[in-house]
Amino acid sequence: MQFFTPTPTLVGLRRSLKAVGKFARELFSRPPTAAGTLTVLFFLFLAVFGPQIAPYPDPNFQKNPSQEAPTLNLREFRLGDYPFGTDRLGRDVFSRVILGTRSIFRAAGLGTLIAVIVGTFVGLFIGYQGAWVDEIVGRIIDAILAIPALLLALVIIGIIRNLNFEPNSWQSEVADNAVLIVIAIVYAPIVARVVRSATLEIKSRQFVEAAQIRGESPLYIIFREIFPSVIPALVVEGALRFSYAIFLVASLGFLGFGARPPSPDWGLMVSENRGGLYALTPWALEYPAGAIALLVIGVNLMSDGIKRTVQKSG
Amino acid sequence: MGRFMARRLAFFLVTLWMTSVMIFLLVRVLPGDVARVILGRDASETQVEAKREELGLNDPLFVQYFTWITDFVRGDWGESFAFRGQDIRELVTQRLVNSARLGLISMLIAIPVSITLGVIAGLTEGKLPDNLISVFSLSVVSLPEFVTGLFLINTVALKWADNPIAEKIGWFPSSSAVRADASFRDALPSLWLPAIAATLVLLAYIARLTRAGVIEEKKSEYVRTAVLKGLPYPVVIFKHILRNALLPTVTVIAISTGWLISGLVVIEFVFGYPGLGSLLITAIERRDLPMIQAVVMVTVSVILIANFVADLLYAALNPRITLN
Repeated sequence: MQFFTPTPTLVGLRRSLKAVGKFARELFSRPPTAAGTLTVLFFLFLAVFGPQIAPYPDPNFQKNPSQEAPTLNLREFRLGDYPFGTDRLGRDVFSRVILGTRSIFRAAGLGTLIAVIVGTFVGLFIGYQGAWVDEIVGRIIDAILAIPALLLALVIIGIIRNLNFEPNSWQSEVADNAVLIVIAIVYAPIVARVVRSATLEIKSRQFVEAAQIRGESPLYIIFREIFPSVIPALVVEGALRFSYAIFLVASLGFLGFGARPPSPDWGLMVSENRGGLYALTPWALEYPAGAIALLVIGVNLMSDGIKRTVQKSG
Repeated sequence: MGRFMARRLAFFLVTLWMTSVMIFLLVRVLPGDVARVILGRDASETQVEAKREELGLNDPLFVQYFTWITDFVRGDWGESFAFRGQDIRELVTQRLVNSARLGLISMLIAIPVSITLGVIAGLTEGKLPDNLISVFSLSVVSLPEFVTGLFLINTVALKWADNPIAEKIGWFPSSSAVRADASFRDALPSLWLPAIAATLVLLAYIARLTRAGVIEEKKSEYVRTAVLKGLPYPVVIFKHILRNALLPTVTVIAISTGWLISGLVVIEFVFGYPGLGSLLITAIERRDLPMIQAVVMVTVSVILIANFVADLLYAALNPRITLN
């Protein structure tokens, strides 16, 4: 008899760790995917450690606001100076771009995560249940998806914002996180639809039938038998949603429906520095716009690579 | 074909109806007092109560919905709060026409260009032209509309002293803020730049799909037969490959109206063009609830009609669909 028998969960854990490792190795074997993933990781790093890295951790720091003319100091790239210049209010663009990563990752990343979790539950449930539940929820999802994501987001945020709440109440919390919540609302139905069709396909396989005959409960079948097979489709969809979410958060910020001034939000920075003053401080617009483009390209390359890897192994 | 059409029509109507319920609930039921929102913070309690009564907000919800939707179908869309006293329907149709002009011009540019790019990429799969086109369309798709829009304004349109490009081609105005009732001919010069920005939204989607279609058809048996039969390459491309490869493209063009409309919201805002998108943003900013409902309803109807037409077109071009 053995002294140590690995428990089933430990074996499962090790096996999934191995799968993740293999997945990561394959992901990094294609140069474009590797570049995209590294870009995303770089921005993620900035999002986590931004306040420690930025030369001016206070995004609204103004050095002698009254005297300071906008400056661009690229020739002498010294940290602690203004490598990306200052905007018209004398704020350091370099610091603000770094600090802005956190808000975009928070809204797009967390929003997508919530959308994926909610969408998975709904999709698994209606896919497995089928019949009239599927029919009704499916129609509701169709109706939501008929409204373009940006329009839906604008309307919801506009309405939430126009309501007056007591400060520090839960409603004002909701209003402050409107973008994050909207991302979740807009993308959960799409995820649900993808998971639903994957579930429909897996439901008819024999191992599910076997579990049904064994008399397992529906919950057990949904989460232990069907869910693992849905994961590949879910990973692909999640990555795709994340790239759309970043796009959407940036657009909302630009339109004035995202973070409020003076937050260092990329879309907001672009819209604050456009117009007649552009000729004065073009760099204050170019760097946040460039950061948005770089992050979206990175996420696109990464999600494209994830899709390829999943399709190859699955 | 008749049964197929009837089924699609039923689907279209059911979705439209459900969306109208959704829009209604979204605007009316989200926590908060609509009358208070309209009148602002300073209004007294009696004023708010009078407004509630006037708007029928004290009625049961399904009565409110029924009143709204019957009026809407009859063409009585009410008066705007924000644009004092103006008839919402007039305003919305005028802006819809403006947006449609912009959308049509961008489609007219986008479709030939993207199909050409897609066919070239598909025929040279894995080679240099294909890779170049892939990189181009990926970067175009990655740039938000406001970034490309501002880029165009600042490189092509703004005539600064030290901007040689803008000086050479000085005929693009940097703002498209024409009068909302401008005729097509008056509006045309200021349409080109926003149309190019909107084109970039569509380009990558259509090109990518065309490429996939061409690659798939290239591998098919009948194309191999045609090549082995000794038909000239152009004949094989145009008569055999493209006929089938462009089938899904037709659908995606119709379906991409949704993306185009989202893109137009941002582009109209950037260029100050008086379209449906900029109307929606104004309506939301000024808390004009009936206007918001009307704009979203019209937009959704346009998208659903486009999808419906896409289904019919696809079925007409590909009889195999209706047989199943």
